[in-house]
Parts: sequence; structure tokens; C-alpha cells
Amino acid sequence: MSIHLKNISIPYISSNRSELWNHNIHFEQGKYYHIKAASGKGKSSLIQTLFGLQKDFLGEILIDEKNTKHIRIEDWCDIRASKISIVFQDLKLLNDQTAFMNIELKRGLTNYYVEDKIVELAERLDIKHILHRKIDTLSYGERQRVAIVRALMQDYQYLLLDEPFSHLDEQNIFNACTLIQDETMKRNASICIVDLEDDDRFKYHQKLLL
Amino acid sequence: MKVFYQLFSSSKSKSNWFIYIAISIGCLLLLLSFQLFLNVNQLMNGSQQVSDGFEYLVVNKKITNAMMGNHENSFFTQQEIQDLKSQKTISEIAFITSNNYGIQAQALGQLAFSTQLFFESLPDQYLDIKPKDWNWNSTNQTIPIILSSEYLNLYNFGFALSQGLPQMSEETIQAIPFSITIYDKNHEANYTARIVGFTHRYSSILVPIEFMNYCNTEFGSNQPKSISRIVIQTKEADHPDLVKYLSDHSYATQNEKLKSSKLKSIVNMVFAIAIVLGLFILVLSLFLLLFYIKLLIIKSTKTLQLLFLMGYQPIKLQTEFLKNEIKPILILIFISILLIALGQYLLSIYLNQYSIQISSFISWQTILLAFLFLLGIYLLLRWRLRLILNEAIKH
Repeated sequence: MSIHLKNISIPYISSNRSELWNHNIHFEQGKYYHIKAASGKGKSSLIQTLFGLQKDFLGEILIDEKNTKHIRIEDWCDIRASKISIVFQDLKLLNDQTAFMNIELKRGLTNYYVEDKIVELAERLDIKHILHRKIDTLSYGERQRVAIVRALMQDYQYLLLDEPFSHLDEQNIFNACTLIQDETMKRNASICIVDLEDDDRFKYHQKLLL
Repeated sequence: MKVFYQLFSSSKSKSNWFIYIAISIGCLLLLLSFQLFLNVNQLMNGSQQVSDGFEYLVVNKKITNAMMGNHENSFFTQQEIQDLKSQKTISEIAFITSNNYGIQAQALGQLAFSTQLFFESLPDQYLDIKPKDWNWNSTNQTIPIILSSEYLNLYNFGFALSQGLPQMSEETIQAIPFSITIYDKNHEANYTARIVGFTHRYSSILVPIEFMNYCNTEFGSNQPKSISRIVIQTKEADHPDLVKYLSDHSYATQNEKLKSSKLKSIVNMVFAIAIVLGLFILVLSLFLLLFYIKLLIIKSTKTLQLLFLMGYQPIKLQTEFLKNEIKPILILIFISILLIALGQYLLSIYLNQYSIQISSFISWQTILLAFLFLLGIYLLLRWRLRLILNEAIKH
């Protein structure tokens, strides 16, 4: 699978000095990308655009050489279920459900992993003990880790991460990065992370300024 | 999926049960009214004399004081006969032929009597029984007779009891030969007569039409044949148009059939009201259900949108949501059918004590109605869900 950005821009976002807006960018499968941007530069808009949720952009995004504007809604569902996974900045968890239920809803969609895997991955991120608590009783850091485990419960070729570690301490960031790297290597997939700051948590093939 | 059941059922509240109870009452009332309506129809039709899908009524003019002493007033005119024939509710008519000659009957032995009689005849296809000896030709000395079963009852319970005479079963009376003398002013002929059957349809003493025609020719006076009683063949003896026509023309007929028609129409009206009421409650409860579904989806919009973002196909979401909602309704309808089946069984046992026969089983039409009702709810829900889901996914 490949993702190709052809001169994309969003009318209300400034593209001055950007290395991505209005450029030709090719995200290759198996490679890791870091995109750094200050607030208001369109980090979340980029992630949403790549995930097919935002359509008010100029230029073209090609997934496997197919223009995303021509992809049917049902095909987007397939892509989201098994080709592109995501950790949203606002996490998009069901607050009135337990952490386990939130993860299980993703796992049960394709059954990529068995149910026990939820506990295993949760243990690695130190959230096993809060799996049966409702999301609205958890801290934001715990919620971020739940969202990361949920994103890993499916097959993917690209993993989109939107400021995924903003509320985690160094130890938890390290655990999360190790887990994400292990899971991503297993799938020979790509990571595309957007963040406020530069980092070297993964062996990035390309770093871009948004 | 179990996870969907947990997800959607956790967003339900206890007030749902009121909606389900409303649907159950509506459904139960509708199916019950329909089943009772079928039972009444079965009972009413079973008690009437239906042959080949037709019913037969004997019609004559009502005898009033003004008509007394003038036989001609009780005869039907050609115009009246044509008018009867032209009625949409009447399929065919036949004339009852009566004797134009004298008849003297005698019996010997224990049942010794001698009396003057009358005979009547009508075409064979209008009879409710067809005894095997029911034929006559001019070489026969024995006349077959069909007697009204009412006459036998009158004899057994009215005459025989008060006069100290023996009561007679149908079999016994059929074994007794009668001596019949046919006569006019100039000559007479003797015959033997046997009762070959009993009619429930006509209050009369019937002989084969061949015998009647023969005797009317041989012994009858030369008066023109006049028609005072007519049999009408109709699909529905209790049809309001027919009842009104007979009443408007002061024609008399077997009243019990018309009374049963009145009863039937009253009972049918009661059940029709019950069915309309059932439908009304049902429609109200369905509206309630639709509002509830809308509310549920509005409450679940965030969840549905999120599931859609995770990669769940809209059709899958619709199916799971629908499955979750239709399951309790399916169970409620099934329970309603079971309750009605049980009620029908108990009712049949109860009515059997009074010699009223109805089926012990729920009718297939009622089950079909329940199935159609379920299908209707399913299609309605699917339609509403699709609209609301599409709206939710767009945002």
C-alpha cells in the first residue's frame, strides 16, 4: 500500500515554509515519518484528511494510486478496519463505556487478535488494572494508553498518531513507543506521527515541518 | 455480536418496558379480536343450512286480516316474480307446487288415524336431502314422502304426549306404510306412501314433482296454477339488502335465519370495533416505538459515529441495531400467539360443555396476521433507522 500527497493544501491554513503543504510527498509502507508543527498549522487536519474524514482540501491524495475523493464510503470502512489505524488527538473514546469495551469494539471488528491480547497489551502499558473502569473515571494519560492499545487491535499498513504521548511521563512514553514499534514491525507497517516537538523516539526515515 | 448487545442495551432505560407493554397490548388485542371474529364466523356459518355454498329461504306473502277470505291476495303476480328474480342477492328461484286435488291419508295398527292432507313439491336440486327412493313414475303404487322434521317433533312432543300415543323415532316412522287416497269429484285412486326422509329446510310434506304433476293433471281442477310459496337460492340469507327487500314487500320467511343474521352482524360489529381499537392502540404504540428509536439513535449518535470511524460498515451497524430492537418485539408477538392459542383451547373446552363446537387450535390466519404484523414493524424500523443513520454518518 502507498499514500501519495500531491500538492495538497487547506484553504484556511497557512502553508508558508511548510515542507508538506503544496509539495509532493510519498509515504512508503514500512517507513517512519515525523511531522512537526506548531499549534494551528493543521496537524489534526492533515491526520483527518489522510483518514478520509476531512474533504475540504485542494490537490490530491492517492491511496494505491486511487484518488481518495473517489473512494466510496464502504471502501473507507474497509481501509479503516484493516489498512490505516489511528490514535486521535482527542482520543475519541466512549466515555460511558469501560476501557475494555472500547478496545473490544475495535478488536471484535476484524478479530485480528484474540480477546486475551487486550490484557497482554494493556499490561505492557500498565493499564491492565483499569480495563474494567469507565473511561470518564480515568486520567487523560490512562485514556491515551487505552486509545493506543485500541489502535493496535487491528491489522494496519499505516499507523497515524496525533500527539499520542502528550499526557504521558517518560517511562510510559518509552513503554508505548516500544509496544508500537514491536506491533508495527510485525506488520511491516509505517508510522506517521504528528507532534508539537521534534523527537527521536523512533528511527524516522523522514522528518517534515508542517 | 454480543458486544453490540451490551453496548446498545446499556443505553436503554427502564421506560422501554412501557413501550413494549403498549406494543404487547396492541398486538394481543388485534390478534385476539381477529381470532374471535374467525370463531364467530365459523359458528354462524356452521349453524345455517348451507348447501353448495347456497342458502335457501321459503318466501310467502304475510297473511293479514285484509287478505283473509281472498286466496288470490296470497299469490305472487308475474311482476312480483320477475322483481324477485332481478334481485342481485338472489341467485335463483323455484316455485313450490301444491296439490289441486283431495288427499286422504290413513294408517292402521297402533298408529291408527285418518286425516286429510296436503302435498307440496319442488325441484330436486332445492332439497337438503336426497333419499335413494326419491323417484316416482305412473306405474308406481308407492309414493315416497319427505316430511318436515319439525312435524315429527310436533307429533312426538305436542300431540303424542298429550294424547297418550307412542312417540316415534325417525327409523320407526319410515317403516310404517300409509294408505293414501287421491280424489276429485268424479274419481279416486289409492296409493301406499312411505316416508323416506326428513327435511330441516322446509316445513312441508313433500312428494316427487313427477307425482305432483301427474296428479294435478289427472285429478286437479282446471284452475290456473298459482304460486303462493317460492324458494329463493341465495349466497347470503342474512344480506341486509335481501332482508330489507323482503321486509319492504311484506314477504315472510324463516325468521330464525334473519335473526341469526342480525345477531351475526351485531357480533361482527363488536369484533370490528375491537379490531379497530386493537389497531389504534397498535398504531399509537408503534409511534411511541418510532419516537423511542429516534431518541435512542440520537443518544447513540456519538457511539454510531465512532463505530463508523473504527471501520464498521453502515449496513452492519443498521443490522445490529435492528436485531437488538426487533428481538424483544419478536418475543412479545410469540408470547401473544401462545396466549391466544391457550385461550382458544380453553374456550373450545368451555363451549363444548354447551355443545358449541369451535376449533381447539388457533387459526392459521391469526398466525399469518401476527407474521405480517412483525414484518410490518421490521420494515418500518429499517426505514426509520436508515434515514437516521445516514444523517448521523454525514455529520
